[in-house]
Amino acid sequence: MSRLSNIAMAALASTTMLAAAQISHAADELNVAYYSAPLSADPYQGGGVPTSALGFNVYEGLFFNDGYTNLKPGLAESYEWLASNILQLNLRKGVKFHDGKPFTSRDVVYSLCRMMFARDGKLGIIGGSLRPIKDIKVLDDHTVQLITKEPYPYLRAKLFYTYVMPAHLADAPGEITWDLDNKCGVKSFASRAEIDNLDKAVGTGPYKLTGYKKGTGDAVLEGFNDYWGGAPNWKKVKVHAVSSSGARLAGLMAGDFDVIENPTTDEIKVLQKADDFMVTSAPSLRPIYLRITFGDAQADITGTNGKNPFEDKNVRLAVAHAIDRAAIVKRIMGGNATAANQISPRYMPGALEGAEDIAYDPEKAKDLLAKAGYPNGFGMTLYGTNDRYINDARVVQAIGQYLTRIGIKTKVEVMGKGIFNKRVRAKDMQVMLYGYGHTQGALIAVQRTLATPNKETGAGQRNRSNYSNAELDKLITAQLTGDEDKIAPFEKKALEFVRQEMPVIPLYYQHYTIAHKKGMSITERGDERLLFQNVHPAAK
Amino acid sequence: MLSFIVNRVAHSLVVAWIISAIVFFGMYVVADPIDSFLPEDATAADEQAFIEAYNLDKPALVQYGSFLIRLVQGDLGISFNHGEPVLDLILDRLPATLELAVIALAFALLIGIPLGIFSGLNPRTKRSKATMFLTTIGYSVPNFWQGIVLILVFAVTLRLLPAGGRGDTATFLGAEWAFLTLDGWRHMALPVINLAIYKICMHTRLARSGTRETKTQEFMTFAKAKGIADQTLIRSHLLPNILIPIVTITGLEFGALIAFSTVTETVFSWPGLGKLLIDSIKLGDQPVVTAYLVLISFMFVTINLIVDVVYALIDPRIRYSAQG
Amino acid sequence: MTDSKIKDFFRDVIFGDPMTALGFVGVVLFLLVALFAPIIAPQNPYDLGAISIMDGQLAPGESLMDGTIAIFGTDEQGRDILSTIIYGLRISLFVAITASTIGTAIGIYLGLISAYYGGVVDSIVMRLVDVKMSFPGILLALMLLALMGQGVEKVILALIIGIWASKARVTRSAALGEIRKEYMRAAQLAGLSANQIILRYLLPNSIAPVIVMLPMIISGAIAAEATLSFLGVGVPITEPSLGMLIANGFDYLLTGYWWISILPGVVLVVLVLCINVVADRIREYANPALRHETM
Repeated sequence: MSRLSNIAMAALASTTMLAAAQISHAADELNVAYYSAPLSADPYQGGGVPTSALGFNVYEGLFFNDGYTNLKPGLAESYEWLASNILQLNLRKGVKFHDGKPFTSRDVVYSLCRMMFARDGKLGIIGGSLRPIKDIKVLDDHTVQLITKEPYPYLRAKLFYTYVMPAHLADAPGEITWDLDNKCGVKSFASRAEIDNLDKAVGTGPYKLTGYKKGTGDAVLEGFNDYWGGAPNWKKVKVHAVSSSGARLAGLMAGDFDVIENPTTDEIKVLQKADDFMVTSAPSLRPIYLRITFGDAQADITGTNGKNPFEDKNVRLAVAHAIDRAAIVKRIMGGNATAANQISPRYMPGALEGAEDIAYDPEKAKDLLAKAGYPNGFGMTLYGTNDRYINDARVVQAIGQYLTRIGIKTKVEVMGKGIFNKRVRAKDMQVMLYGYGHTQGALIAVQRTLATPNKETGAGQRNRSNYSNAELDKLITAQLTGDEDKIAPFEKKALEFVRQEMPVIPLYYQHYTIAHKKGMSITERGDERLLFQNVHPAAK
Repeated sequence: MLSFIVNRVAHSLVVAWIISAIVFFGMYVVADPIDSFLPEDATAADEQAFIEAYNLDKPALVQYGSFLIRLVQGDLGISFNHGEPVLDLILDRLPATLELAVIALAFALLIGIPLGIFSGLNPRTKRSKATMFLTTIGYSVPNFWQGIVLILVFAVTLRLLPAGGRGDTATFLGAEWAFLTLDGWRHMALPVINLAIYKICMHTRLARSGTRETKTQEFMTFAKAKGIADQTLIRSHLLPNILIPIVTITGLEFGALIAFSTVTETVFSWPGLGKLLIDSIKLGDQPVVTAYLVLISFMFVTINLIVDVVYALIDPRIRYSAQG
Repeated sequence: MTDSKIKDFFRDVIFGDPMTALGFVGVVLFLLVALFAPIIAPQNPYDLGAISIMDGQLAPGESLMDGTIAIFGTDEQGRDILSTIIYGLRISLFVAITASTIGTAIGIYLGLISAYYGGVVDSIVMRLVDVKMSFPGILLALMLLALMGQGVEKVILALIIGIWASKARVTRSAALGEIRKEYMRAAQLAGLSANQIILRYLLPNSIAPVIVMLPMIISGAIAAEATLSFLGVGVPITEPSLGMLIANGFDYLLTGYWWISILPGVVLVVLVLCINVVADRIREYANPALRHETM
């Protein structure tokens, strides 16, 4: 019966593959299709992953990480904690900026300051993570001390996100100091416009920016031959921003692109069958889970006499066991996700290693529902976005199927993320599909989304679920104020607490997927930032 | 004539004002900019700074008031998403939409009018009926679906043309244009066809029914009886008469083309105004949506105005009634 | 219209031309399928409990776990595409017919009172029409739906707002022609109330130009709804119209699962085409200038 369709498929596939890979560029030129446009050549100007991903190829941080929060030396070759609040950095010597000038301590102070003043030269839209810094001492051209107000165990992790830029391109005649009230002594920082028009788009990274088109976001980079970390893999890299996945795929097949980001689940299936292409997929930092609004029952809950059923842990567990994660990963995500057993992606450093899987057990789920006093289930709406996570609208519907089968009559409503966020703030959706990972680790994510809100410490800043638990708060505070090497045990305790209590119901961890020509080898990062140095050309 | 123009301009201001109020307050109620545009790991300080930068802590009415004041000064605000002046964004994208619309319109006129006249002159022939049926199909197939089929046929199956994007551009008059490069034309082909098909059908039908109605009128029969050659007949008697409704429609349709380019641009990921609008609506980028729709309403009214003036020039009789 | 007139109409206009006859039969068939969707469709695609992702993305002709054959295949949720098309047709037609009827009725009513009362009423109504007409319909609907959110009733409302204005204008000018006629004066002198005159005399004599447009309005509404759903601001995903089905399938277009998008698209196109063929014929018939065409 399916022969007819197989023939049609084959016909389509053969015609589409035929012309593929015929056109090829110069061997040392790489063409990459981003899924969304970098909004600026200045990586601080918002725009999420694409903007910062482009930036990471041009600029470098004091520390690097591997995309899974493991820190490695960057422009700071080594470091030492002189006290809980004093971090000494020994800078790498012999590093040159793209304009040939050497990199020194002055550039570090300037770069940290510029982060604070990145937007319109005004203080602080994106520099919040550096606010705990009280002072910066320059000991010599290659030694710097960062002094924080309190112990700040995440300081090194934050320094991955400070793009080092040259002080000599700013208007700063005198000394640059960490004096935020006086703009650090800088008359004017390199502005976004000056970076976008490439006058001051200068970093120390393996690629220098030689073209950037504002609006479309297309960029051209050239390998920087004086790069301290060795020769660049590519002479030239062209970045094309193509928001339609179909157009990216067509471009890959036509040979216009060598690498494309985020092929859809369905496109991956086709690409996996193709001879000339392959798909590389890396687990990401982002867990996807069902998020619950605690407190009063919302309008969409029916059949519970006005009670919020999710206040009862049995109901949360029932929902957890009602869902077949393996089936969702396989059928909806096409295998490009990892079933979750805890809020932290299970492969991340610091995750709970021996945690059990959450079994798919509809009978147990029904028993738990009965135990909670809802033997006949109840009615609810499951909310979600349709433009935020991979296949989000499809996953919401699939979960609706599973919940309906254990007796929770589920309606499904999806919307764009602007409207969704408004309703998250209004707290009028009882249960929703949500995903929140943090580039500095799962515990930071927990601290921001589940801790009791506290303006002073920034805890619970994204907690719009009314969840508040003194025990969890204690575990989180303990680890945020200790030394960098002593936070791990607290992290485990807090994650275990969340796993047991299930204030959110973990589903799966999203993968970051790219498709490319066969033969290339690519190391991907969990934080979804593609480094062109991680793309290796096919061997001849 | 002058009072007529003044009247229309005042009218356009009212329309733009109503639109701006609906969009501004509507999006204020509906969408949340803070969580949507700040990076997910933004700190409380970042959030505070964002709120202050966009005056989001002020009451909606105050925000709207300052929006209007800035608007009068020609300042359309700053995009939440791009962090850039909305006017810059719109001006950046305008050429892409303009070239698409103008070329599609040119096709519509050059193909539609002759086709319509010839099929209107001999409406009972098979060829004329077939033309009519084709145009019925042409405007029955929804625009976006035409686009999908075009992609499936020309990009996926035949691999003749790219499925989306704008390709290479060249600079002219300080803007980037795709029609100046070969690659640009390759990328433009499918979206232009997509946008033009409906308009071609519409102009064919208009010209056809215009021709049919005009040729039965007495002056035509009279002219024919006098033995005036067919070509002269068409050029100096038929054409001016059927041109009036076509000019009206063309003007209005140009506005509609710009509006409809939202669909075509979405299907072909053409980086024009329409795509900017759809993306901004989905993201909840209120400053962009408000500014775009206000500008569109201005543009629409301006086009109407030009149509009326041209109309008056073509047909002097109208001038008198327009004053009345 | 008397019985014999209706008979004549069908004989001369509808069945007088083979193309029109075909279109008319098509329209009737589509209406029947939509009406009896729950009986005809193999599956109720809206019942989340009745579908399973384990049946997802079957090719046309493969069978579901319960043994039934999915002639048109399934989507990723395991919904039978044939059933979603049948139900989608129902939603598309329901939305379009409801919106067109209400929108046209409002337009006619406003056009009539505008013509009858004149003065302030007239200028208010006509100003509103002007405001509405000075903004592209598709953008207006897009804007309203972006603000109101998804929902069948919201799409209907947005379409109504897009439809009424031009109908008010057409009705008004037709009614103005009627008002000058003798019988209207007679009716006024006979002491009939304004409402009676409007409903009994003005209405039946002025609606012809708009009523001939109705099929066109409906097919336009079908296409408009599909477009809005395609752009992501139309009906909700759990109650997909034809347009929504095409939009969902668009993701699959380049991947070989072409039928998910193309089949609902074919149905949509044939539906609109059938209506338009009939609509064209009726309009042409109704236009006296063309009916007496020589040459």
